[in-house]
Amino acid sequence: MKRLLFGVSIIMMLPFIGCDDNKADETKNLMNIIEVTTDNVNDGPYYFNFIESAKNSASWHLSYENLDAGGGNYIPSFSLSNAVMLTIDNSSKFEEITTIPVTNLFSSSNGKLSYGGDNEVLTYDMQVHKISVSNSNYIIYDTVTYKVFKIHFDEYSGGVAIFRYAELTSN
Amino acid sequence: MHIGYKTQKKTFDKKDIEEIKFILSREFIKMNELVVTGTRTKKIHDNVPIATEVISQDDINNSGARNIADLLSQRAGVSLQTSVEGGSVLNILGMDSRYILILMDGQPITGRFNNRVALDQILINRVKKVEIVKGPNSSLYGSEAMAGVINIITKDINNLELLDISARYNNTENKFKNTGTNNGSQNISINGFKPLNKFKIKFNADIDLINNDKSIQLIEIDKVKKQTLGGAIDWELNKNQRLSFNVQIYNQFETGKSKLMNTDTKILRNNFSLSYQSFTNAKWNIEQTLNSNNYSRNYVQIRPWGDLEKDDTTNEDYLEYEILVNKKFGSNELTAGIETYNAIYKSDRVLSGKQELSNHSLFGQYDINFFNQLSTIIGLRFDDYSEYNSVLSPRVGLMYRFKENWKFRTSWGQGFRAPSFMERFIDWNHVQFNYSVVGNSNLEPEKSEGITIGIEYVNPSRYQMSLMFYQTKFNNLIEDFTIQPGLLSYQNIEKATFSGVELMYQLKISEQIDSRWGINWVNNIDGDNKTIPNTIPLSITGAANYKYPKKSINFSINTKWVGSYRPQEYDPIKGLYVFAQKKLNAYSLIMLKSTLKINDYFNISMGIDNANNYTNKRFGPFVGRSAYIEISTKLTKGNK
Repeated sequence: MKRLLFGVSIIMMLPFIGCDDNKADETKNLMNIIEVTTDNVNDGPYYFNFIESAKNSASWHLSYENLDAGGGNYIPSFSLSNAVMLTIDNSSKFEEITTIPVTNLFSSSNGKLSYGGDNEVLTYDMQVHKISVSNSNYIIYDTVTYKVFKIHFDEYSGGVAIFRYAELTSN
Repeated sequence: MHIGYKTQKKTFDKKDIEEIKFILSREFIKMNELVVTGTRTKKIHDNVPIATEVISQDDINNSGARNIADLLSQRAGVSLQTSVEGGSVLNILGMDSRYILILMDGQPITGRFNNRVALDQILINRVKKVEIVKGPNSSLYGSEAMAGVINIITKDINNLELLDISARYNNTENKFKNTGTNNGSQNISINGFKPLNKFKIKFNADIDLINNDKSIQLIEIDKVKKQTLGGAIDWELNKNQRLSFNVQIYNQFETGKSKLMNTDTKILRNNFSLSYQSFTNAKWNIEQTLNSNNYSRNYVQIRPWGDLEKDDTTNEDYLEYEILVNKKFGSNELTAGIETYNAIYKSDRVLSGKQELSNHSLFGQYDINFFNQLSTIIGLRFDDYSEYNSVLSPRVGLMYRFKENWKFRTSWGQGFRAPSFMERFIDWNHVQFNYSVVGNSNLEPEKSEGITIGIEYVNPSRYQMSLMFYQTKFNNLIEDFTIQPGLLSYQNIEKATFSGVELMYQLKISEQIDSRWGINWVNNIDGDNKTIPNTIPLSITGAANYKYPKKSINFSINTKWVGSYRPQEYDPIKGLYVFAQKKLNAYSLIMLKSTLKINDYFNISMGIDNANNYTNKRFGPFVGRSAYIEISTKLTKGNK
């Protein structure tokens, strides 16, 4: 009898489990997450405009270039435009962030993403000469257009990086 | 006398006896075992003036190690870090492994990455024992024996089972969840031999597959396939002459795939050796060996969209001839030899793409036994290099027995390491950080001078204790320096002194339980009396082994405690290796293994490595708790 009840309860739970998955998929689809592969930073600086969803060296939100670290060394580094404010959300998975954080969480982005910054994207492991990407979820606020985007950096290899982003709206 | 077994004496009356059977029991402390590394001739361990540590077959079996890197890292005074640049970086007595000569059956191992032998490429299944000799040993071995020699000795024909097959599955998921056989590592090993009239034939095959395993994920690789295939023929021409041919072929394939980069690494190492040994009635023993090693490594990086980022190939060819002569004069013994080799190194990273080096050397050693209590050894080696100054390396050793079971040993010697091809001729640009490294063709060999002083007490049936002090002073150490911003090279400048004390203890607690302990204290300082980074001041190792009375179950525990230390890290801004900001806290590792003998043919073993799940993402160990199961079968002369 116990086995029968257990079997029935499992079968009854299946639709709910299924609904959960569908909800997650729907959220992802609604978010329209875009994946971008950068150019090789050793070929020159790379600038990206999230609103245009395209490279734009004249009007950009995210830059990616070799930073002069002194001693003749150059270290690849991401940084944000001065017109952008930043906050970090590590409490949720990237796909699950759907709402805009409260405004007072945002602060000036100056230098925070770049090498040595508080929230550097590319971390240089001094022990093993390896560059890896931070697992943080970055949320940026464009003070010109008032648009908000979430960004996650997935991978770095030999001068090229992959990141994903999506616009967050108040609806 | 049977080496490694207790001597038995029984009295019988001839009239009543048709057959006499002796069942020998093994000595706990195998001081009658033959060792070869300290003197380059076979000597009973008990009689060697040069202190030699032996990792025995039992130690290897109880360790659960899969390769030499795993095995050595369980020892006190030895630390091992896995580098993403490839291979394992071994520190012994606080020194980088490039200052330790690593041999396989007495011959050098070709093919290094970052000037180091990749010890994880040497699989354990065909290893009989490992001999470790501390202190400079260049008087016998030449370059690299600056601080010690590690000789990995493979099973010889007399030690192999008729057929020995083992299969092992290892999973590095610390929750022991079933991830299927597509993940983790699998190893199949076959060793065997076949006597055929005057020939003895042995063969070995080993396949090690690693898939989606934490041990390789940290170096961004998905799959590793290691294959070893080898064989040997021993031909006893007559009572006084023997010819041996040995071949070993090693292949390693590594693949890694990601959204941004696909990598392929192919490593091929071939070793062929031909050895002719003759003995004369006048107690001369002459051995000539021709040794050919080829090594190639090809590393390719391709973007998923087809762009070729890197295609690096390194080839190393090494051809050596040596003649070793041994003659006994009563209780004294002379060992002398000539070695000549030619090495060719081809790499996209060295100047002109190809470099060549030859060396001719002459060495001699005299072992004098004045009386039963005192034996001494005097040795000298001369190395003449085609590219830089010749080197003279002397060594003196002494052993004095006092009372019944006490021994005092001391040795003094000089060692050196010839600069590597990379240090002399590298011409390489670090694409990512835009700095260049150029070699320095004027580099001279690094030199060392060392002393060991030790005392040992042995009670063969119960316990052994040894205490050794060692000090090695280094001169002319090669270190990298900045010529100008963005341009690095090497120079001979650094001085250092490495000192330490090592206490080792083996105890047979009962017929069922024995244990081994080791304590290593190290004080390594540079020319300015500052502690050298990565020096681990104190490490302790302990092992206990329990045999169920019926001997069908064996349980082993190996532990290692590593004291707090300051690691080294690279500062890209200064372009220098510097002390890490924080000290690493002390940590311990626990390895467990149990073996069940099912019957005369089959054994099954299960084990847990790093049972306490200690990891450090930056400095290692990188892989946490892992579990394995191994099944082995043995077909021996007795049970076939």
